[in-house]
Amino acid sequence: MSEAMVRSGVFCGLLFCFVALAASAAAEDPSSSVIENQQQALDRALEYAGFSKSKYFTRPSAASCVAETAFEDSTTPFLADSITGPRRWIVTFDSVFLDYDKWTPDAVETQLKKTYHFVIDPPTGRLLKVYTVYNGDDMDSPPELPADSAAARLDLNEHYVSLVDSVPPVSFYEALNASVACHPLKAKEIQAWLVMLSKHGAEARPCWVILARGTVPFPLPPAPSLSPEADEMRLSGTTVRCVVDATTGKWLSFEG
Amino acid sequence: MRKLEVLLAMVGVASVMGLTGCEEKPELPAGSGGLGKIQIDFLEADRCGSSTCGYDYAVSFHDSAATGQYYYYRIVVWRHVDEQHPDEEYIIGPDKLFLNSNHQITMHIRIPYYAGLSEYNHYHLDVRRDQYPVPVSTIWAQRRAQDSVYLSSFASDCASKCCSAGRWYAGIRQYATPPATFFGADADIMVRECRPCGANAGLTTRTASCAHVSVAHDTLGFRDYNCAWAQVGYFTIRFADGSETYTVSYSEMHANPYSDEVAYFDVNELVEGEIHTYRTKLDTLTGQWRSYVDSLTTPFKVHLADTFWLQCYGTRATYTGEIWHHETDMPGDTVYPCLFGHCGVFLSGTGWVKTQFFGDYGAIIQERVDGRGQWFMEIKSRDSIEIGDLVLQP
Repeated sequence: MSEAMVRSGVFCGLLFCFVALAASAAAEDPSSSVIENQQQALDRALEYAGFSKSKYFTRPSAASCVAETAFEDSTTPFLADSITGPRRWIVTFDSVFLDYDKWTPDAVETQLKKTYHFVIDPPTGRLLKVYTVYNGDDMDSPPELPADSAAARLDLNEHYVSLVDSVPPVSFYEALNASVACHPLKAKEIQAWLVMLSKHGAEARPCWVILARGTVPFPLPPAPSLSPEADEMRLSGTTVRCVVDATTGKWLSFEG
Repeated sequence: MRKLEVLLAMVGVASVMGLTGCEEKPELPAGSGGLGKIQIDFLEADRCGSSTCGYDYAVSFHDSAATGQYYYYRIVVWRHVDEQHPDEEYIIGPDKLFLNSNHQITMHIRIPYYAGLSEYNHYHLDVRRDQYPVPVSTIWAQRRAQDSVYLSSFASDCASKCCSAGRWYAGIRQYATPPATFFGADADIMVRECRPCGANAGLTTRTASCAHVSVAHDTLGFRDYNCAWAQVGYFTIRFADGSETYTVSYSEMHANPYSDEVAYFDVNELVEGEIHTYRTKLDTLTGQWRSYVDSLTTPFKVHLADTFWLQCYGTRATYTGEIWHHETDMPGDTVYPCLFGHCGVFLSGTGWVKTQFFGDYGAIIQERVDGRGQWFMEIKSRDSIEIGDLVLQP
């Protein structure tokens, strides 16, 4: 089953969904790694997500959808095989409003709200991947590379050594806010991974890797034109990859 | 004295209207090579798009050259006509590839607000034509026609905005004299944090001010129109919809099929006044550019192997400041300029050599890039320059 089929399955209502009812739901032992039920999956996803840091996000209104299903990943460099599996918890947060102060009020107000899917590994409770799905007409980004090709491109400089075993101090919500070049408010699609990342062979450290597709492109210098009207700047780089230190929250790099 | 058609384009403050008319015109060098009968029509103002804000005009002229062929045409509007220094003070100079299909060419030009046109003034207008393609180093204007035009403008408040998107440079270029080519370039560059356009007004337009060394392959034989380059340096950048600026090292490579750009925030916490060593070097066996910052052993970035760079090498090395908006400050100013020191190139068949910014240097042609009263470049020694902004933001 392809990743796309799994995604569409989520939206076809084949999976069991429920609404998280109360913030006072019985808290599970945070030291326990095994995720055995939907409540534990939701709790763990919320720990990673950090959406509660937004004043507009409340647990009762999360309208979360939690499902256990097969999941296949074909695009994550280095780690696609670890993410693929017959049993994965997929926790969905519908139409999340990002309440950030790094951007202008207008950009926040007019943001493209996205639905985030957190893929959790049941035996370990590790976060495997975060993704959104863009259902519009034009992504304005080239197709994703297969995992092998993506790894070959990255491997010149960086390597994803492994997934991170525990919930880091910096949440996904905070990492998105730090990823200014990715412009998560306007990006049409977001993917994210929490990985141990090594650059040029240095010691690996936990990082959020955020891939924004269909985001605000970078302008290039004007090119010689074949038409009298073509004086506009050329645009490129609608896929931007940002890396944020998951321990300090420091923005480490962007690439696109 | 002969009469030529001249269009008077008048733009009022309260209304926008184009008037046509003729005027007696002083004797000018006759159009050569069949170019002539220039006419300029005002179209409209405030057409920004994603590019520079300004006034749009249509320039029409006659070309008696053979039809059915492409030529490059350049229209140059001069602020002042000075036969001794004809290349100074030009306002606009777009180059366009056009098919001469019926001897009558019409090109649209945009005169940017930052040109600061004074109201109802005469300007000098050249139309020049070159063969397509032409070899590197060909001087423009194999054929040219000249005329005098009336242009006028609104007052603009661009000094506090981000009106003019594009690229502007202050620095020095070196061209390899064939068959020599460049495989790399390096320099020690002083960090100068720069103010993005509209900072005082709270604007959040994405903009950047950079200082970098680069190696480019000029395509189509044109000096300014390279579509492949590799560079490394630093920029002060403000991203779209944000107010914070970041001054960090970056590296980029553009070629075919790949474009590859990265900025690292953790390698160098860049501080005003620091000097960092930047180097970019092509591996001619793999087609990979490697960039280095300070360390010349651990790469800052290894770019994708691009087949373009297996076949084409650098024809130009550049040491320059670069801004993305005319209103953004260039690195450095007259008091605290941005220094490029120990500039060097990797010359094919020779290896790393330091530049000689004055005097004879065999396989290298040098060209300074600065000007129009906005920025400066000063040669300080045989291998160092200083650049800066002359008109800092208010």
